Amino acid sequence: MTVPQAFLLLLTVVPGLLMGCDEGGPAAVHLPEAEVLMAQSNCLGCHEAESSTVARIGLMPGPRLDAVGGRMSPASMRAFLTDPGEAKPGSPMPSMLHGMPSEGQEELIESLVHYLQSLGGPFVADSTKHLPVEIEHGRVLYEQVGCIACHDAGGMGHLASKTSIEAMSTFLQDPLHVRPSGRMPGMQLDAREAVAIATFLLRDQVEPEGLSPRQGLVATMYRIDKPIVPEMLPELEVDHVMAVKNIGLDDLPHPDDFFAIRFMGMIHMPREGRWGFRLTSDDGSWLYIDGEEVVEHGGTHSNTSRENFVQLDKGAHGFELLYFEYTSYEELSMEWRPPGGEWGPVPDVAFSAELATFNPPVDPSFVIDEKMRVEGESIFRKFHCASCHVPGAPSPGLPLASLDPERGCLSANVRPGLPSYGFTDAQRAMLSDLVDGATLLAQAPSPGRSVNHAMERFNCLSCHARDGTGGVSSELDRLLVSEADLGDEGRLPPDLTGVGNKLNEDSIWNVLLEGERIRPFMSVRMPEYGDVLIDLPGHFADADALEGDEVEPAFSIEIAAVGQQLVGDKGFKCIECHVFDGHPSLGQPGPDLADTHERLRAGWFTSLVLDPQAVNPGTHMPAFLATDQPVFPDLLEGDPQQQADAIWSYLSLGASMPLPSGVVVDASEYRLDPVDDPILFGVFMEGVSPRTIAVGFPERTHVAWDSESARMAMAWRGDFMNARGTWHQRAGALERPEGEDVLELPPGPAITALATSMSPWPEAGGISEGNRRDEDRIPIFMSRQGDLTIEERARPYLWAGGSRLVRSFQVRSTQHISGLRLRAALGTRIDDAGEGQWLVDDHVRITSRNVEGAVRIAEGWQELLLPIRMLKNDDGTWSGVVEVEVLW
Amino acid sequence: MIVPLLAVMIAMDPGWSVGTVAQPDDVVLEVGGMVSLGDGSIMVCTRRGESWVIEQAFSDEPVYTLYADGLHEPLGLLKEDGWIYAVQRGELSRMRDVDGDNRIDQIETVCDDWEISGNYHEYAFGPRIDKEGNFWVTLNKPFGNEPFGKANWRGWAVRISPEGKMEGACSGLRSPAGIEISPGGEVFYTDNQGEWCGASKLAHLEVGDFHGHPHGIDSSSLDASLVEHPGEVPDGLLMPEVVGEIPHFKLPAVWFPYDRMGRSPSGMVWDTTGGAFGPFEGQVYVGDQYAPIVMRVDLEQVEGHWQGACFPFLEGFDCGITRLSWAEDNGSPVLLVGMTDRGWPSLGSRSDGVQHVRFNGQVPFAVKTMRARPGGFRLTFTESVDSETAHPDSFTMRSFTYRLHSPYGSPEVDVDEPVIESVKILEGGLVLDIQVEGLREGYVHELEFPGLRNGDGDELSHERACYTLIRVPGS
Repeated sequence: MTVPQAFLLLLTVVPGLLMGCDEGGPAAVHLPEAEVLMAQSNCLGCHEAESSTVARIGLMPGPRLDAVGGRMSPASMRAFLTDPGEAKPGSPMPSMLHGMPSEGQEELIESLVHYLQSLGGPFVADSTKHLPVEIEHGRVLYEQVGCIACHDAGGMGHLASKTSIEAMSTFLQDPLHVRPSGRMPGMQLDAREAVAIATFLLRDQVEPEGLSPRQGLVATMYRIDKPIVPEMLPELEVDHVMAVKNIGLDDLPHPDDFFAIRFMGMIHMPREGRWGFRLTSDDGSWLYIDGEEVVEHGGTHSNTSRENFVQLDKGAHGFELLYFEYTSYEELSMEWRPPGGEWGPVPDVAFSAELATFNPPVDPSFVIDEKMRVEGESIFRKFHCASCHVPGAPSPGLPLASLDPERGCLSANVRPGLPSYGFTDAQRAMLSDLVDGATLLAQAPSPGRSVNHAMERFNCLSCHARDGTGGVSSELDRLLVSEADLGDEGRLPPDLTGVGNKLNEDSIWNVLLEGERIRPFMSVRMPEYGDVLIDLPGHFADADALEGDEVEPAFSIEIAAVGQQLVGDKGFKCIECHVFDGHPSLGQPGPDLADTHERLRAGWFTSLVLDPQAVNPGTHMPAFLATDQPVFPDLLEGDPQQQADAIWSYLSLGASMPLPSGVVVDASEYRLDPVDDPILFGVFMEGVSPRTIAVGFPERTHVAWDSESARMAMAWRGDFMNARGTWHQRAGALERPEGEDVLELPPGPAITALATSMSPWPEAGGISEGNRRDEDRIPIFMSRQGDLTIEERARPYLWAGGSRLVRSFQVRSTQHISGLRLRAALGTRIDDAGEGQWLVDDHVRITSRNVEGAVRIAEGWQELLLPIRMLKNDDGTWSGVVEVEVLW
Repeated sequence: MIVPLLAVMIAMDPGWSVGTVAQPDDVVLEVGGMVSLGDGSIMVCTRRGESWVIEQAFSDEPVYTLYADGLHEPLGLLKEDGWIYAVQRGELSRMRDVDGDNRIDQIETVCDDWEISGNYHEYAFGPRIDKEGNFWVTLNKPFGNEPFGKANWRGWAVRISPEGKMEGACSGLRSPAGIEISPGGEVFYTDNQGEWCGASKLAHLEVGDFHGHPHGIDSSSLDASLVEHPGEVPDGLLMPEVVGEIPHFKLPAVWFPYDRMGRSPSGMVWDTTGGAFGPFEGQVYVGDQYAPIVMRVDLEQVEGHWQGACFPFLEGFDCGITRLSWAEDNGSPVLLVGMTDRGWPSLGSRSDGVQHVRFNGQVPFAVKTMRARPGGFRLTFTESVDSETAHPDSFTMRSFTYRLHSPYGSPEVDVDEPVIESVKILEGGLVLDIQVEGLREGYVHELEFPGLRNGDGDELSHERACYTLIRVPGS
């Protein structure tokens, strides 16, 4: 059942709603159902209204047609134009041809078809081959990602005559491109998933005889000109397709170099159990079973092996192996290991190639007739189709405020030429009331009502409950699954009652508009509706947020350290069920704890941890603080409130949050995670130089030293570096910080001797002389300017809301040098904030505890300079020190 | 956890056995440099910028300590005066562990006068110290997708004084993956075939040489250059012809014919073990980045030019080889074989690691040396040749040279088959003088010995010897 169908049904079978309408008088104008119907019928596409009315009701235009000829067959256009409701049950597309003689209708429709086919068409597509298991995979996805919250469980039969696998999968990956209204939201599908769902939806295109199984596999040979990754498959040039008996290159004619082969078919497992698969190849190879990656052995390499194990049922499974050879030697073989057995070759009989051939509904006899196209274009104009189908088209109807409901689209007999929506009498009455009271519609509704309107309009209630209404149907409940064993909380879309007090507005925005997935283990996905929802995060916040819940507890490093302990394996073991900053949890993969502070409001968090069941009934989260006896009586006096605040304080450290004890660092080969000592990493660094030493600290605040220009060049927070660009294959990539809050430090030397207070700061100077390690293994970088040696140590310390960087300098010389300065900051504006603090461009705070700094203006820039006083040492040399804190 | 790997016999001469340095799961030894620290300890620096101290390296459970990290693709190590020298992409550095915990406390820049633009192929190799105490470093030219920044001194061998002052000593290098000083104090390097390097080679480095690749020749005009600008390099001449065109063009000591002698020679060591590693004392062992093999080279100086023969030697290692180095285990010499294949094709079953080779006393039947003499060659053997087989029919010879040209690698060109006219038996069959008609200067003379046998009727343990004849003695 589709959305509008649901509403029609609802309005038909619930007379109470209509009674309210009849009896309520003018107040009934505000009947929420009427406003939803008005939105979904896109009334305001034709009828101009106050901008506040448009904001309140919303527009729901039809699909963009500028490339419709490339995705829709002529026959399906004909059928749809003839009777939209019949061809596509539930379509909000009105009939434009009612009251017209049938022979005239046919001619008119044919002209429209010729015109629409000329837009990016005419429709052509090749037959494509897919594994039958893909269809099944598509069916599972269709059910489990949540398509059936709005669509019939069996899929949409009419689609087979409408479009091709390619056009369908393209559409599914980004439906908002064609349908910006959000009526069909994006489901965050990758290319492989979109194709699978397309094969399910278009399965009627398969020839029955295309499904006879036979032993072997189908191999598609591609020509390549560079090493490939699986994502490049759709772009590769197919050379030819052949049948093969098994995996390997021996009996398979192939070029010496620059080719790829994709083997497809089924693999028949003789028994259930945990099977091993081993790929040995030169160069790269990938194995997929039932659409899931089992072995990844990509990249150019010699004839080496990779293996993995996977639990499989007895019987047939979808099989796909991708292999490529770049240059030099080529080898490919696959072995399997039965449960409890030994590695060995896979016998030929284990493979069968059963491919389904999809024939798209191409009409080779259809040729665009120019005369009809021109005629069709004029009809398109005459019917004002653009009002719904072309973004920004003018409104052809009367303004909403001056409509007479007894005439036009809402009259009992819509006259020919005007759109006929087939409204029921009840709907007509309801809409008429709305039109009568159009001035009331210009009033801003309450935030709660705005939330409800959006949730009705976009069918959110099919998945989410709020304030006791909505939620998944029993059918959907049965189909939705989860990779995590976290109860219904980890499987079903969350109840949105009070969500605007739970989540801060930004995090609601991220989910609604940025596609952020907090619970990737759930099969169902939060759809993407696009910009039509930009007001909704604010409405949630306005409707739900409780005053006071945003107040943060007092922060101190010591309290945060207690929080860190409580989160880790020596505390409440939160990391057992929560992912932490991308590192897998020890048990169930609950939401990433490191994001908590960014997402949640302080008061809600405290309420949750103090009494999880009260805030979130049915949650699997234990009440670790609400116990009779405190578990950790020695920490903060065992006080639950203080311990909750400590956890929150720790989680507030953001990108600088050190990992809690017990987290198993993601074993990804190239991710660099400083845990105990600092990590040094020599790289080509973007924006610095090809001679950069990046230093990663466990405080998750990092710096980059440029050996080329002998200066500290950059600092950032969060993840340190990913070495893939430097350690993988030939490497040599320009590396960038993995983290965030990137701070670029001033160019040129940090310290120099100025001849006069007016002398310009030099652009270069100083040569790098290496580094030595202090007692904490922190590198102290050494450089020289003539007789002057400079040592710099940059060390992070945790701080409220993140971290600060302390830069300590020591200079030495055989003789006294006057005019020595540290350039602590360079910016367009530096404000003296008092007490030895300066604010640089409103976002960097520099603190000097001992030395009086001065800001000077230099060619449009402002510089913060700190003088360095040199003192004579016992051995006759001179030295000086200076230190600044940088907070950003 | 460290997984002990069993020592395996390699499918070559039974005279040498090979083991593998056991490696923890989380350590990747993409070997850039190796140096012995004595007492069975070694240091290995890796292309990931780490340097590991491996104690009890030859035991089942070596102890790994991360000495340094953050080096930038260091491709060579040297121990000198209490410091460990390492050459990184952009600098020659020296490192020191002051407190004896096997972890670096200090690293100093010795020289960073050469340039890098940020291309992956801008590798730097070395350092090696010559008789005068200068460091030598060889610098790759950039390679791959252009454009890459133009940096000075790429494709050069540079000489660095103990104070850190750099001079451009030789130009025209391409991918000089190995550099070593001979026991006599001469500097040699290996280069990989490619553009302007028709065949992989081992060449003598003398100040002022131009080795054929024009990429970096503009640096000749810099003050620190000791090499005269070669002018425009003619594209397509036969190698011997180039000598007449560019006076200071240096022909190599040895060319390694493609695929018959590896593909990409890399690190090398002289056998200075006094016979403890087998019968090839004084020869050079050369690894190959593509084929997991160690070749051997016998050099001689003829009319002032170093030249000689290369022979297949050890094969069947686990991966392409970047570095060879000597270590000692219980008083016996151990040849360390450092491996990595990241970024280039290589044969073998692994992608990184260190293996070690010991001589076990069984001397194979092999050509020990091949030396030029007027009108032919003198071959010496590790055991007497069966005199019945010491006649011209037991040999075949082919000669050829290469082009100096811009395409990637050169075919073998101007091929001829010199005639073995006579074979003279000396020293009871331990030495054979073969007389050859048709010797050519500037050509490889590739000798095979299909009919040659020892007293037991065995064939030689290797199929061929390739002598690069630049000068014929007495001509």
